[in-house]
Formats: sequence, C-alpha cells, structure tokens
Amino acid sequence: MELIERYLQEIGRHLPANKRADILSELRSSLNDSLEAQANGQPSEEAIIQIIKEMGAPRKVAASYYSERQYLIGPELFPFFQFILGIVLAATIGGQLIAATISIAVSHQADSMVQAFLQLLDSIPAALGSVVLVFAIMQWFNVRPDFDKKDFDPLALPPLHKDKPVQRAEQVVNIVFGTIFLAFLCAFGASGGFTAKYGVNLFTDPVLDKYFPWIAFSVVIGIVLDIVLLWRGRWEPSTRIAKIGANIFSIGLLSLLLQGQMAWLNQMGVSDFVVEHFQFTNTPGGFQLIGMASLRLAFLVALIVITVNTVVRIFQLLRNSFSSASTPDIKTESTLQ
Amino acid sequence: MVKNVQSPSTVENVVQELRRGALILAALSQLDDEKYGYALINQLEENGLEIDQGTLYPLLRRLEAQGLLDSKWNVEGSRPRRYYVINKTGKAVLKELVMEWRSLSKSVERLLGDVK
Repeated sequence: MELIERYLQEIGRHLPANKRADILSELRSSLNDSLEAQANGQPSEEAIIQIIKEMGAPRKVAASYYSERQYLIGPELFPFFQFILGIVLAATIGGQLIAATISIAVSHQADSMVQAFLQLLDSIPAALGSVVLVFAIMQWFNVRPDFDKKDFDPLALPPLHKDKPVQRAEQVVNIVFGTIFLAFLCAFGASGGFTAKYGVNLFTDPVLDKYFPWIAFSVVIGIVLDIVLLWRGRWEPSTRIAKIGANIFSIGLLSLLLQGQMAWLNQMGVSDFVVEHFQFTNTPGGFQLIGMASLRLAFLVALIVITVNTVVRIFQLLRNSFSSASTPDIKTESTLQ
Repeated sequence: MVKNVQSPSTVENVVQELRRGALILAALSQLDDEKYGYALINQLEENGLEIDQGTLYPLLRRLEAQGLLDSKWNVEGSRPRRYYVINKTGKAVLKELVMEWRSLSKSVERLLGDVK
C-alpha cells in the first residue's frame, strides 16, 4: 500500500494546492476500490503496479485536472497576445534605433552603436517578458478581450489582400546588411576615415564626414522600414509610399555626396570621371585620391540603382492603385489557398 | 504515391477527441442516482464503454465545475467516497445533448454508409 501513497504523493506535487487533498482522497478511494475488486483485499505488489499503470503516469493524471489554467497564454488570448507583442517589439526596436541614430549623429562615436545593440539585447527579452507576464496574469484571472461581444458583421471584414507578399528572407538579409553597414559607418565616423589594421589612416573623406549623420539616419530608416515590412508580411500602400519617400531621401543624399566628391576631386585636378586609379599610387596623398575617386563611382552606381528602384516602386504603387479601383482580380483567389 | 504517415499517437489523439463528447453524454446519462466514480466506471463498462479512472475523475470534476453535477462525500461504508448526481441544469443539458447525439448519429451513420 506504500506504493499507492508514493504514487498519490507524486500526483499531488503537480496538483493545484486548493484542490489537492480532495482529489487525492478521491483517487485513493478509487484505487482501493479497484484493488478490492481485483484481489479481494489482499493485493499483491504486481496487482498494485498494474492498477497504478492503468491509471497513468502521475504528471499525466494531474494534468488532466487542469483545464484552461494549464496554459500560460490560452488559445483565446493568443491572437491578441501576438498582436500586442508585435506592436511592443516594433516600438521597442524602432525606438531604440531612433535613439541610437540620434546618439550617433550627436557623438560620432562607434561606441554608441555597440551600446545600442547591447541595449536591444536587454530590452527585447524585457519587452517580451513583460507582455508574457501581463497576458499570463490575464489568463490566470480569466480576463478575456471583449472583441467578440459586439455583433459580428461579415460586411465589416477587411477586403482581400491585393498587396504583394514580402519575401521574408530578403527582408532579413536587408536588415542584417543594413546593420553591418551602419556599424561600418559608425566606425568610419569614429575614426574620421578609412583606417588600415593598425590604426593608420588610409584616407579621410571630408564629404562623407560632413553628411555622416544623414547617411546614418537614412540607413536606420531603411532598417526600420524592413522591420515593419517583416512584421506586416506584405507590401501595402503605406509601406510602398514610405519606401519611396526613403528612397527619394537617399537619392537627394547620394546626389549631395556625389556632388561633394566631384567638387573635391576637381579641386585636386581629377576632373575625368573614369580614371585609372593606380596612377595615383605613387603620388602624395594617393590613397585618398584613389579612395575619393572610388567612392565617387560607388555613389554614382548607388544613385542609378536607387533611382531605378524608386521608379519601379512608383510604377507598382500606381498600378496597384488603378487595379484596386477596377473589378476584383481573379488572381486574388490564390490568397485563399 | 501517398505514404501512410499516421503515427500511433496521432490515431490515439483523434480517437480521444472523438470519445470526449460521447463520454460526457454517457456519464451524465448514468448519474440520475448518486454514484461514486468507481461504481460509474463499472456501470459504463458493463454497457461496453471502457473508461479509465484517470479520464473519468477529471471529467466528473469538470462537469461539476460547469454546474451540471452536484457532489458530496459520504463516509458511511468501508471507506469515504465522493458521490456524484446530475442536477436540474445537468438534466436540461442532457436532454439537449441526447437530441443532438441522435441527430448527429443518424447523419454520421448515413455518411459512413459507403466507408469501408
């Protein structure tokens, strides 16, 4: 009989304290009824083991006494939890990125970027934990959002998505590379130029230095937009317009950078656009000339790419606006699959 | 060619899901008179419905929490036992459930007519 008490004790460990004694008494009574029926009051150890096995493992038996409360966040609350978590995480990451941009712009310190990342590592789990805690308390006290209390009106359902789904892998790659580029920019801002391994300045770029905060701002805006797109999961008119706006800002900035590089190179007597870079290797300040000329070319390429990209996005925005004004598109059926 | 990928646990889960509602109906139908859990298990088994103790007792607790059953401890007899009985609300719910079950049973039987 000691085995039965050990079994009940183990079940009791997993039961709610306020019902433990009552449930265990009932199970004890039932197990004894079973034993009495099977072994006429003189149960062998094998019979006890068999009866305990039939009832099941202690944790499983205890778990069957829980209903909704075994969920930290139950199925009814989970969609609401996901919705709130998305907002909280976007606000946390977005807020930190904006704060980091301002900090970098003001201080020109690469350390600010590292600190921003460390703060993100701290704040994301903290934000996640806080939301989980609030919802776990709501679950515990059986608090439910009253979304469903209103009469459901099918005509109030949102229209079918016509927007193109976002390629998630592409957004993740964009965020990663954007962040690496931002870190690189910060290192540049901190050292005042491109440096070799041992801290020797290869060359400085006064134009990049002048526009540094705006470049950092542009990259951060790009990262924030990519995070929003990743969260929303599809291109919407608002995100398309935001992306076009960010691109136009980048075009303006790249134009200023290109103009600055060209003016600086003109002053140095390098007016031809296509130059043989290696001819500067042995001239005084040759590295700087090579670097400035290379960046001039890089800015031009970037300007062309972003301009083309912007034109394509404007075209897509206009096409979507026109198609949404016309009759429903048969292709939208695929979204139901 | 489609492979048969159903694992034993999948089958077990589906069977449990199918049985869940039927067990509620069966338990409620047998609790017109006060009964303790073990006696109810025996009664259900005598009628061909097997249910283990680990399933029945939590089920009875849930039905009581939902206000369909009343219960009390009885210390007379060889050992203390908790007795359950269907109450007024439970009877009304049982009536609805029986109608639903009969209608469902007929429809499903018709649908299953061709299934081998």
